[in-house]
Amino acid sequence: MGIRLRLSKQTLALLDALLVHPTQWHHGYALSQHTGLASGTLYPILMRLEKSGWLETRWEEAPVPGRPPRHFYRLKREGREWAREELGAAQETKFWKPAQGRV
Amino acid sequence: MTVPQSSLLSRVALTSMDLVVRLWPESSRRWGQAVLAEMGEISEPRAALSWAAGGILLFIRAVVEHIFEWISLPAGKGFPNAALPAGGSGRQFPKHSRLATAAVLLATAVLFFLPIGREATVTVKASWRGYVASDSDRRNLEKRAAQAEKEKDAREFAFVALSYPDPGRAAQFADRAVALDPELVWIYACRSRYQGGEDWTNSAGWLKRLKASDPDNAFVYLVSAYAAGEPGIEKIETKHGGTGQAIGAAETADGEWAAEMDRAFRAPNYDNYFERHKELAREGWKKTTGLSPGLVAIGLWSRTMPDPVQIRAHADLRVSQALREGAAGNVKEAETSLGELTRLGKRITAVGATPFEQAIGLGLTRRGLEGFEKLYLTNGQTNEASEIEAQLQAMETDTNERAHSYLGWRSQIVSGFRWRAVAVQASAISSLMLAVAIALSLLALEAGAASGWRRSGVGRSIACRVADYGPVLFLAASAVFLWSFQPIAKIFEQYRSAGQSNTETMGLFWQLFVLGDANPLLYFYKPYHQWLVGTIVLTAIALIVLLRGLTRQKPVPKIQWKSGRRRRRAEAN
Repeated sequence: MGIRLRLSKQTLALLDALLVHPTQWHHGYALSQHTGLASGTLYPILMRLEKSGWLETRWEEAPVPGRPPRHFYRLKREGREWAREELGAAQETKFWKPAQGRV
Repeated sequence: MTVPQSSLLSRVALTSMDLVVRLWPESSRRWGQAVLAEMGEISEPRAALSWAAGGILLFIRAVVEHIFEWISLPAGKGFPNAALPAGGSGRQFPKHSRLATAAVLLATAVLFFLPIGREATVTVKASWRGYVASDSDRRNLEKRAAQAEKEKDAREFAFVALSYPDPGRAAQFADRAVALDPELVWIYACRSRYQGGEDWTNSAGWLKRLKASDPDNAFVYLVSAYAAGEPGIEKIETKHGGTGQAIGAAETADGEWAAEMDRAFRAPNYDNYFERHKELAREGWKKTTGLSPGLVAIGLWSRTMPDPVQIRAHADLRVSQALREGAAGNVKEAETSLGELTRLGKRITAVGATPFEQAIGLGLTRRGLEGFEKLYLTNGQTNEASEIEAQLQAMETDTNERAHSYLGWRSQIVSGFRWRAVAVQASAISSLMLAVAIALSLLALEAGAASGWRRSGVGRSIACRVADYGPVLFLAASAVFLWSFQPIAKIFEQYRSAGQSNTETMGLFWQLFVLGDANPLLYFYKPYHQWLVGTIVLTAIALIVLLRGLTRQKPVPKIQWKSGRRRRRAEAN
C-alpha cells in the first residue's frame, strides 16, 4: 500500500473506532466523540489513512437542507485486515489497549 | 451556512471556520469543508469552539504544507491554471525548484550584506553618479549629525560639515561644531571651495575668529583675501594673464583685499589644514565604513586652496612695486618685499598637498626670484644676479623633475589599476543586469501562471532559462565583483586605520577617478556609441532570426535517383 503510517495511540484508537461497525460509514464528529480526539488531531490521522490507501471517504448524498454535505469515512476491506493486525500487535506489546467494553 | 447557532460562542466558531475554509488551499480544502460540515451537529457552544479551533490548526498545517509543496516546484508551477497545453515549443517550466532558486539568490544576497559587499556597492554606485552625493548620503550624514548632537561630539559635526554637499546646511553643522569646540574654527576655511555656493557675506565672523586663533598662518589671510573678493582682478587675469592691466587692477584694488594679501605674504607660516582635514575624514570614515567614498575623498580633493589668479596678481604687483623701489634706490625694501614673496612660494611648495597647490608655490617662487634677478641686474649687482639665475635654473630642474615624477606615478597608478577597475565595473553591471533579468523572468513566470499565461513560446523558454541559469550566474558575477573590489577595500581600510602620506591619499583619489572612468555606461552617453550599440544589437537580432530560419527549414524530401534502365521501365509501366 501507500505510505507507511506511524501508529500512535491516537491512530490505534481511531482504527479501533472505525472497526466498531466496520462496513458502516462514520462521520468525523462521531469518531471524535468515540475516541476523545480533538478535530485538530483526528483529521490529520484520517488524511494520512486516506493517503496510505486504507481509508475510503464519501460525501453525504442527500444532505439536510440548509446544511453542507457531511464527509463519511470507513476502512477498506484490506484496511480492516491491516487495522486488526496492527491493533492485535499493539495489544500484544501492551503499547495500546482497547477502550473499556471492547476486546 | 444556515445552521442555526444560538450562542455567541457558537456563532464565532462557525464564522471563523467558514472564513478559514474560504482561505484553505484548494488541494486540501475538502478536509476543511468536512470539519465545517460537522459543526451543524455540535450543539454545545464550547465544544463547537474547540472543534473550530482544531479546524484552524488543521488549516495552518495545510497552509504550511502547501507552501512547502509550492516552494519545491519550479517557478510558475503550482497554480491551477499553470498547466500548459501539450506540444508547445521550448521549455515550459524551469528545471530547478523555487527553493533551489531562492537558496542561490539568498546566498548572493548574503554576499551583498557582508561589509565588503556593502562597501563595494556604495562605492560603485557613487562612481556611477560621478561621486556626487545622493539623497541617501545626505540622510546618512543627517543621521550622524543627530547622533553627534546627542553625544555633543564636535569632531563628528565637523566631519559632517566638511562632507555635506549643500552649503547652507553644511554651514549650520560647522557652526554647531565650532560652538562645541572653538578650536575647530579652521573647518570654515576648508569647506569654502568644496561647497561651491558658499555665502561669503557671512564669513566675517568666522574669519575674525580664525585669524585670532591662527594669526601667523598665511593660508588664513589668503582665504580672507578671497572672501574680500576682487572679481575685477580675476576677470582681467583670466583674459590677459599677468599683464600690466592685471597689475594695474591689483594696484587699484580695494584696501581690504590688498591688506589681507599683504598679511598673507608677511605671515611666517603656511598651513592649509590638509593634515587636520585628512585626520577628521579618516575618523569619520572609520565610524561608518559604508559611507560613500565620494563624500570623504572628494571633500578632501576639492578643499580650499590659495586662489592662483589672485595670488599671481598680488605677486606681480609686489614685483612691480619692488622694482620701482629698487629704481628709486630703496633696494633693502625691495629685497624684503621680494623675499616675502619667495618665502611664501617655498612654503606653499613644501606644504602643498596636491601637485596643483605645489605648482602655485613654485610659480610664486619663480616670480620672486625673477623679480630679484631684474632688481640686481638693474642695479648692476651681477654676482647676486648670477646667484639668483643659478637658483632659478635649479628650481626649473626641480619643477621638471616633480612634474615628471608625478606624471610617471599617476600613469603607473592609472595603468596598474585600470583592469581592476574594469573588472569591478563589468562585474557590477553584469550583476545588476542579471538581477533585473532574474526578477523579470520570475515575475513573468509566477504572475503569468497566476493570470493564465498559457503560451509556451520563445518568451517562456527564455524566462525558464534565465530562471535556471541566472541565479548561478548572478552568484558568480557577484563573487567576481567582490573579489575584484578587494584591493580597493584594502586601500580604503589602510586609509581608515592609519595615517597615510599625502602621496598615498592622492593615490586613493586617482583610483577612485579611474574606477569612475571605467564605467562602460559612461561611454553610452555619447551618440556615436549609442548608434554603435544599437547597430550591434540589431545585427545580432538579424543573425539570430536568420539562423533560426535556416535551422527550422522543412527537410527537403529525398530524391530517389534511378538508373536509366529502371527509369525507362518505370515510364513504360
